[in-house]
Amino acid sequence: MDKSSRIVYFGKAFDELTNYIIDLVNHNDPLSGAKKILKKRIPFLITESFQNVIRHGINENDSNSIRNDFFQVLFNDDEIYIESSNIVSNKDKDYLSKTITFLNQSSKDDLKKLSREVLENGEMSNRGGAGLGLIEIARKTGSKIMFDFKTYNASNYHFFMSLKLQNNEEENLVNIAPERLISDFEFYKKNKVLSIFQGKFTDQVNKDIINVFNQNIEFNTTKDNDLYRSIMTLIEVLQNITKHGLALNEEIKGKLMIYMSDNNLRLSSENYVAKEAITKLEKRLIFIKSSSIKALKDEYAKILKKGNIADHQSIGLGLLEIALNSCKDFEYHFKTEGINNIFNLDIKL
Amino acid sequence: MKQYTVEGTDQNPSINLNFEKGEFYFYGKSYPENVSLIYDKSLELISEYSKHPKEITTLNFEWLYFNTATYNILVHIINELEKIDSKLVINWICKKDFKVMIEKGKFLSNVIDTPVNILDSY
Repeated sequence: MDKSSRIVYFGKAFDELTNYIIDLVNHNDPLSGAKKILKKRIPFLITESFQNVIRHGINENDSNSIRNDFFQVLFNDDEIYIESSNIVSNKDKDYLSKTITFLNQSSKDDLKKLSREVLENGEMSNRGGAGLGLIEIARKTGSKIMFDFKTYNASNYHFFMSLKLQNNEEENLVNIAPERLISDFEFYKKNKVLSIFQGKFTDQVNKDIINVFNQNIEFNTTKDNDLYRSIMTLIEVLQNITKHGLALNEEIKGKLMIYMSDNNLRLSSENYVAKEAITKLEKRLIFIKSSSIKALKDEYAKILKKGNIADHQSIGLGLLEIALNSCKDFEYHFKTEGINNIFNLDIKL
Repeated sequence: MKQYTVEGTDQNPSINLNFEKGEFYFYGKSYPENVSLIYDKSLELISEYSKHPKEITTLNFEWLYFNTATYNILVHIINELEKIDSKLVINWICKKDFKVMIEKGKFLSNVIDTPVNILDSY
């Protein structure tokens, strides 16, 4: 499993999304050591860059259409990236290109003066009309704003923006084209990825994930019943990870992804499991896969009937709920990564 | 105690236990990681109520979402209330086209072997 922490949202932005993602970043707390000094800047930069997408992204059809709004927050060992993509008009492309190029050429002192100028006068005097948002992004990022445009259709462009946070403010980025972001974006688009969370799973993080993913699932399901089954399955998958996932260095790490396949919503999870737990888990999964739906409902009823509240963690209803919600249409795999074992579950909803 | 109320959150249910009327209402979202933290107080108070119950005890459930651990707790609450000297009425409230939730109510009835009234929430 990739060691980085990652939050991806691809679809239609909504007002509360920024706060939900900030909560998720804070509760996941992937920062350590020196990088913690960057922590204060992250909520601001997420807010400014995501609000830019939410406010200015072009919606090609009606308000119910799925949009190409894209957000990613990525924590690698030494780097933090806050990234976004949205569709902009040709006019916006010219404005953004000119403004960001100008801001990237400005010194720290110039940016400070510009910020003051805009605060006092309401706009930048004669140098491109940059809004305060972009100026403050340039100031707080501490490095050049990486950006690029790709043709979307005859009149619109995908605008990609990547903010790299680093302690060393003197580092100069040679290449300002966010190639990795564009490559990530193309990969997610091709594989119809809606949301990804990769990192530390806790009760609080699960709640944040449900807030973020809930909206994306809602946009991609047309009926209450489908939405309910999807959310309930998501909840059980998340709680399986936090209850049964193996903690490494006292942290339960894993990955959760929602994507579309053949017009069906799919949910994929990965987490570490203890070697000694595999046999029992596999036996349970083989039982579930080989049983009829009726047999699974009987098993579910049998467990519920006991009304045993002494040990919620071992009653085994979660996997049954997942199996019933997906009509048993799920796959599972165990794989090894060095000395660790990983459990992967892929569910069609 | 005449009444016990808990305001719901994104993850936890709203609870309204009216001991004077013998009416208990659980609603909203219920998917806490640790259900004991949320439901233990209600279980304790319902256990206390059981010593001097009303002639009729009404349990109302109206869920948006609930996890399997919550389902398990509901059965436990019902099992406890079925033991006492009070007629138990269980209402499962949801929109009439919410088939999955209606199935959950019917399934509950099957598990506890007691009628569950499926009511339209409008």
